[in-house]
Amino acid sequence: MKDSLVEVNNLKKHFHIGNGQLLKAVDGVTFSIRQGETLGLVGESGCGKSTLGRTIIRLYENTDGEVLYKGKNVHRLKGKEAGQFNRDVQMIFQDPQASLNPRMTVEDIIAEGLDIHGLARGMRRERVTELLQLVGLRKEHASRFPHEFSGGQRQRIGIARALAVEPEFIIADEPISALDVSIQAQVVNLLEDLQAERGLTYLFIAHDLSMVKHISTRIGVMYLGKMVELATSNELYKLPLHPYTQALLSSVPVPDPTVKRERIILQGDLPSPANRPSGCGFRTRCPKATERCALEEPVWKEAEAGHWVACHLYD
Amino acid sequence: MEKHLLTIDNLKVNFKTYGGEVQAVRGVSFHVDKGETLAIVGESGCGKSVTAQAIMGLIPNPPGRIVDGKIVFEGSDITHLTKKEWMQIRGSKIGMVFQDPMTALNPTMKVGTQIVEGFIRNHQVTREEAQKRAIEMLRLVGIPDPEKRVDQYPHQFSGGMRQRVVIAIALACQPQLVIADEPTTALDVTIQAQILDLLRRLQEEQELSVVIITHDLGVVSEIAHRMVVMYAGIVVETGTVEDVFAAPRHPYTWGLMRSLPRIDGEEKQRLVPIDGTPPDLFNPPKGCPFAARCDYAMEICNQQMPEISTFEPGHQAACWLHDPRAPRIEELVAAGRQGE
Ligand SMILES: Nc1ncnc2c1ncn2[C@@H]1O[C@H](COP(=O)(O)OP(=O)(O)O)[C@@H](O)[C@H]1O
Ligand SMILES: Nc1ncnc2c1ncn2[C@@H]1O[C@H](COP(=O)(O)OP(=O)(O)O)[C@@H](O)[C@H]1O
Ligand code: SF4
Ligand SMILES: [Mg+2]
Ligand SMILES: [Mg+2]
Repeated sequence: MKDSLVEVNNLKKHFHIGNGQLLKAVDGVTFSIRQGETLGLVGESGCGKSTLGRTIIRLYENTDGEVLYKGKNVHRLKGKEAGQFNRDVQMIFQDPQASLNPRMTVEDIIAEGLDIHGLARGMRRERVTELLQLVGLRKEHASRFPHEFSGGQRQRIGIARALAVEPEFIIADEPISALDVSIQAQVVNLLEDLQAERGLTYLFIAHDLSMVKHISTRIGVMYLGKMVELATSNELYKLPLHPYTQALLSSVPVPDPTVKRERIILQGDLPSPANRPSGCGFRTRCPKATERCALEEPVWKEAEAGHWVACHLYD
Repeated sequence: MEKHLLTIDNLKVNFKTYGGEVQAVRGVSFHVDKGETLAIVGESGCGKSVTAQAIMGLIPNPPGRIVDGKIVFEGSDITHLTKKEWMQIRGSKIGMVFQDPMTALNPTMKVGTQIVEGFIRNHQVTREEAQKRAIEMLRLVGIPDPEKRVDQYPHQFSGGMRQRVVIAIALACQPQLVIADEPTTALDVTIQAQILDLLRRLQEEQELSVVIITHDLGVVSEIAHRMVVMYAGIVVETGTVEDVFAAPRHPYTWGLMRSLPRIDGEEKQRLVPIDGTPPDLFNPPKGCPFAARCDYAMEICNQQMPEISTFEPGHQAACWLHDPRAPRIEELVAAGRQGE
């Protein structure tokens, strides 16, 4: 696809977890992320969202498959190109507390990337001030330490740090999950404004489906290391194809007592990715599973224009 | 008044810390009737858990202390009971469910034993009867294969199944009241749906009263009959879920509702956050605690705690906007715009 910034082709990331066991955290995922869009990634904990994000940004080596960033295989980048990638692609983490060094001042945290990449020499302080204001903090905050801030403010510091090196693509891994609702909206608005101003591309990982719908252009749904559905945000919510997506959406409690919705309550728990069911990974909980689902793995296909799904119901 | 199952009247709880004394709960009042589910909402640190701890006699003392107010359960004052008296109430009349099931479970004890521990203490039963009761409870909370599961340990259960076990423990003594503090916050949505479904079914079948603490207005609307909105240690609004959602009366409640995206909404709208953060409870403001973040704050808001106004029966809010002397909201908004 021409306008895609990132292409992920049959990407796999497996972990050895002892006793010769293999945990297939990400197991053959294919999709692309378009320039300037926000791709939302949802799915229950343990389905491989963070591992996928971390493999894309090269925090993990890939086990198989490839990630192309502007057409180049990111796991093969060396020297200057690798350095440029490390600037162009940044990550924001869930727990701002854990991802900020408590012994560094806010100024040093934000400027770390500037220092590493030799940017803003002689202009360090000015750049930091600019970044602080950009994310809604004040100049005076530069000399303080992370523990002096609230959760929402710490997330702003994390965002300022990511923005310091003027990235093109940001992977936000549950950036608002640890924040209160009234503060979540502050951070989401900030991310949206920054995107509009700077043409940023986001991979937005979250488990709050309402927020993902709000912020995303398109959404990918993962289950047990695979992507099971991908569509535009409106289409996915209006016409979910995969039985897992249908159940996931119907599980979200709607803050409106006048709305009474039909709920699909899934039976049982998520199986362990180290012990994946045969055929379709979802079949043990799927209300629509047939014999075939245990025997054959459904292929990832475009059921309708731009709407991808992996489920035997759509063959 | 005494017809309520539980009445909290002007509860105040402080904690002594190195930084000074935190006024965690600053005069909270509400009640719970038989067979109803009451939700307490509010952002982290507003005093929800401390309120729950007070109802269950679990305020750690020191550093915590109930400095004022009264908790009346089934007509008797339980504000200051001895450890032994609390044990009796907790084992038989009030059950508890917490956010993290692992902290509520003993990792070295079979789940069956944990479920009937309190029951055995309060009833004369044989081993077989106890085992039968444990299996019955596991079945009640929807754990498959209860005959086998009853002899397993907590680590052999998934997160969602552990929370079911905790609910089974809470219900084993047939309490009148269950207090659930963020029981689904740590769970995935599909598992949350299972647990909410279970709580709703049990509440109806067993005519239980439930106090559920959550920060999720979606959960409130799914499961509760009435709600209490807390902010900085006080109740800012209370009413039936229908009334509060249809016509919220407190600016904080407005803010909460506007900051939420709607999953079933068609048009994308910009979210409206509440700017700023809650006040410091070491040194809470003497007026309305929301004033610093409120778009409508007037002079009086900073000086005096708002009085409580009543709208529909049982629908109340603590906000100066509803004082007959206050200007109309439209005027305040217009004045605010001019000032910008
Ligand atoms: N470094 C690692 N070593 C071994 N297993 C891991 C590692 N990171 C993640 N996993 C496992 O991979 C699976 C996917 O995890 P993760 O990507 O964190 O899921 P999510 O972000 O969707 O919750 C989980 O079963 C997790 O335990
Ligand atoms: N054991 C304790 N010691 C000191 N402070 C406490 C203790 N427990 C709670 N607090 C304080 O009381 C306030 C209310 O806390 P809590 O009731 O847990 O809030 P929440 O609404 O998030 O459940 C917070 O400021 C918290 O820091
Ligand atoms: S009392 Fe005043 S500051 Fe408080 S919520 Fe009402 S208008 Fe706002
Ligand atoms: Mg994750
Ligand atoms: Mg709490």
